[in-house]
Amino acid sequence: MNRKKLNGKILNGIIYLVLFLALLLTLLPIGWVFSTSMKKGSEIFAKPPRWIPLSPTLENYKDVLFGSSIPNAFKNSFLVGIMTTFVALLLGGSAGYAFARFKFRGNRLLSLFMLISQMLPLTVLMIPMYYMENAVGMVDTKIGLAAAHLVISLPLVTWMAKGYFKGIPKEVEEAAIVDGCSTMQVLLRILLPLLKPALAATGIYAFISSWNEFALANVLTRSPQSITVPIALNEFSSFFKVDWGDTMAAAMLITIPIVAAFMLVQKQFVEGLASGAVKG
Amino acid sequence: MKRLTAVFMAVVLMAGMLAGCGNKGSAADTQQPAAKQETDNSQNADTDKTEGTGQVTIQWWTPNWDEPESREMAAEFEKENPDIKVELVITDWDTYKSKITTAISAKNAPELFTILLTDVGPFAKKDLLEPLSELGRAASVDFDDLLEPALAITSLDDEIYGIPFRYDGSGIYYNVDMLKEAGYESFPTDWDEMAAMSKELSGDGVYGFAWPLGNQANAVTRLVQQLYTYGGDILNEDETKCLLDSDAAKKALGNIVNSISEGYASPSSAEIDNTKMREMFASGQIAFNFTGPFDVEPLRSEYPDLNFKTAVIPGDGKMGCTTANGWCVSMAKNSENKEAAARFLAYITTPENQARLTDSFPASKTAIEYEQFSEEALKPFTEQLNNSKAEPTYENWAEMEPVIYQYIQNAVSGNMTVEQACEGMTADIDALLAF
Amino acid sequence: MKKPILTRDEKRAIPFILPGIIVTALLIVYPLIYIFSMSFTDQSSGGSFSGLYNYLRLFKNPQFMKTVSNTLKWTLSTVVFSFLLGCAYAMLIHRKGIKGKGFWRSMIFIAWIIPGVVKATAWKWLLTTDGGMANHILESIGLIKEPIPWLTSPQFAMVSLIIVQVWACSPYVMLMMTAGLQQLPADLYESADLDGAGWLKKTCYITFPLLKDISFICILMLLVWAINEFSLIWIMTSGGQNTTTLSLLVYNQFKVLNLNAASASAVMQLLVTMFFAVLYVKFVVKEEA
Repeated sequence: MNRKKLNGKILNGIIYLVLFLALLLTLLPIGWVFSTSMKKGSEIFAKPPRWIPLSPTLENYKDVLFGSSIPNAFKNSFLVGIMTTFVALLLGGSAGYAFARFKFRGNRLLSLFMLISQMLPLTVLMIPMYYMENAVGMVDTKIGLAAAHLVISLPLVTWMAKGYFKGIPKEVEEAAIVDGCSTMQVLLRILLPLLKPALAATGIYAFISSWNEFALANVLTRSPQSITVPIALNEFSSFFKVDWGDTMAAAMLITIPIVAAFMLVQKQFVEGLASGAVKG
Repeated sequence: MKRLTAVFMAVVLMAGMLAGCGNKGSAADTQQPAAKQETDNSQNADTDKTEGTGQVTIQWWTPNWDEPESREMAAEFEKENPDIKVELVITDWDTYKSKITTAISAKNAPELFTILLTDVGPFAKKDLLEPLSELGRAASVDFDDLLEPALAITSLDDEIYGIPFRYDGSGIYYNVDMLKEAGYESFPTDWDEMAAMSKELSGDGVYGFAWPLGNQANAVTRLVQQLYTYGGDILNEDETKCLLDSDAAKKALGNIVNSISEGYASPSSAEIDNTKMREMFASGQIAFNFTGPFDVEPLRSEYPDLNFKTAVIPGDGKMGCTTANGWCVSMAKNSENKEAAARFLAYITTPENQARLTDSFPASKTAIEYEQFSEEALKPFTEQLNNSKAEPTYENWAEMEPVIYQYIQNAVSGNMTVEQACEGMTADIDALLAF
Repeated sequence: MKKPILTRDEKRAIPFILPGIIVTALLIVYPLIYIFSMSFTDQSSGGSFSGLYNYLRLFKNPQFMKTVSNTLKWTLSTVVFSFLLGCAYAMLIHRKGIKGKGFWRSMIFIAWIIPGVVKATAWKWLLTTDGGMANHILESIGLIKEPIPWLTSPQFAMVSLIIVQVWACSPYVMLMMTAGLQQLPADLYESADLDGAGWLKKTCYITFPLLKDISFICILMLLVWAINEFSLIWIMTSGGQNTTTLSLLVYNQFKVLNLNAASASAVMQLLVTMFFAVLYVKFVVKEEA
């Protein structure tokens, strides 16, 4: 018995070590980005590379915040993300509800189609999307990009919402209906409040997908009033100069809001994501 | 009742979507061309007057390295021509081609855009560019003043599709102090002598030179220069067969591979581009660099302590061959205000403005005689143009370039021998041509 | 008795489902039809019908076959390794007696949450051959003598990309598997303990079968990401060093306006995707029946 306990302790020790290594590996690129973002000029290419800058500076952050396209791209990314998330939650949420609760011909086919839609490669959709949006003058607009991002978020939200609604026992609704509630009332007063955390997590997931999306934005936006942060970051490396210090400062600034948003809703996010999927 | 509510909700949803769509259209009309507009206040008075009385707006997509000059010219032109408003969209090297490609193949294309001379041909073949001979003449562009080799690249079937304003080839920049230390007074003109010299120069993290193999276009250009130097070519005359398995091609690729494997060209070559090479040259990590005349000014102003001179590219016992290319302004077939655009085009390609806009040499015979282009450091580049050849403009070049690049990478990394790589690229390109 | 055209449920479902369906049709179905029909035309001569020409030309191109093999290599290895590593994380942290479960999970999960472009840029900078931090670390702990050309040689580039993708996706698997592990009924394990079953037996006979569903969800998502992945490869190697996957091929051809090849290879990419999709759907259908 005692030996077993000791073995368990050693095993735990090994596990902590493995986890610690995993942690280092996770933080390695981010740490290096952060370190570089505090360096200027020749220090960036110092050999051997140094973790701690000899003369740390916030100069790069100042350059990015006050002399680049990044702040504007932030605004664009935020607006695009909000638009696409709102529409996806509204349309995908109600479709998910219908898939979960109503029997209709084509239910299975349509919901499987939604599932398959999540697997469509963006590079395939990119070409027709460009010509379609161009035909109606939506290329290089925030709304155009938000519409394109629905390709990702709508099937995702629909499929997840279907899982959430299915996860709620029918008895809950039946009891309410016996009490004289209409379907709509049941949905608005009982189901939605129950699912608020799950739907919030889904919404945040949709927002993050939009914030991070590169392939479509790369083709569908070009001017400062519509480019999103991933594109702005990538355009930092221009023909005559790649300033790694500035680039890394910009990378930090783009990452922080996303990590913060995640930390803020981590609990709901994890639960929501998992419950949607487990019941999927 | 329940159903009614549900239907109502659906209608509201739909209405919202439709309204959204409507907005998109109008938003696009007003916003799309608004990228980085001119904001010269002194001008607003003039333009306001002509607003609504037939002022036309033209768009010019110009790269970020030409931005200041482009802005000046647009402002000056607007002052002289109050009926035309010029909007600039600033492009950058990494994305300019893909964005122009998609933009000009669709509606509402920009009137004018700056592109590489060698990109004109493929676009013109796809019928995306407006022929400029008539339009240009009407707007009094002096075609006779333009350098023939540059104009030849932008012409297709006797029609001109781009007006060049910059034309140049590569040359050598060398670090005088480093060469002197190794006992060299001037730069050798023979490749093998240069290799021997590089070996002496290399050591302690310093190398003779480097190759820009981290960038597809840069890398392939350098291989093609070597290939032309040894008298090779990429395709045969009627473009039905690939010639990259020739001895010239093997020698060319061999020069690149050997210089790196034998340690006199930087081992970083695989991950750097022309920009990084300039930096390495300026900071003394490499003793000489292959690049165009446009680096003279920035090197002098940014690195005043750097003691450099220029020379022609070493070749097979004599001066090597350079590929030459440059920049021109073209007009999209799908654009609207072509005549107004032609007037502006004529303005930006006058000799004075060519001299202003170019970062190296102008493509105007008058302008190249200006004092600013005749200084000592630029002479080798003018001389080098005597042994120059246009970069490839084959119809399928866009498909061939990645193939060549892929095999260069395989050869340089030792994944393939030079022979295997040359034969591999030839076979792959032949397969493309066969169809 | 007359059968109504729509059942009561159907009438109720329509308002909920119609807007979503219309938007999906507009944004997904129509583009698919568009690209599909485009692939049978010659876009360099005004879009005239050209039959299977674009496909035949694609198949005759040795580069295309290389791209397909790269794509398979990339997809299979990233999915397998991300899944295994993610499961390992989940099981290690889930173990009784490991403290700070939440801390470990959220720290590891950061790798998944940061934007793709940042991931790619950060790793590109880290994996620089000459003077890069990764090589410096490996050299200083004595694992390598010569710097490894991570992204600049065909021998390593694909491996590097796979490492980065596994790094980025395994935290997601960890999260999902953790959720699955937490829902496992404890009494099953207790009775297994009473029967004297060892760790291996418990894992094989209880844990794995009960986690089958969630595993498939994970694998589905990993497949989607692998096939869809564009920004990581584009930013880190631009498809150089034998790392061109179908996504990159489609984009590169679109970029140079080679619409014939772009549309045909896009349809091929679609078919590869659908192959996995059908496998997955078959599983879902079986489960639901």
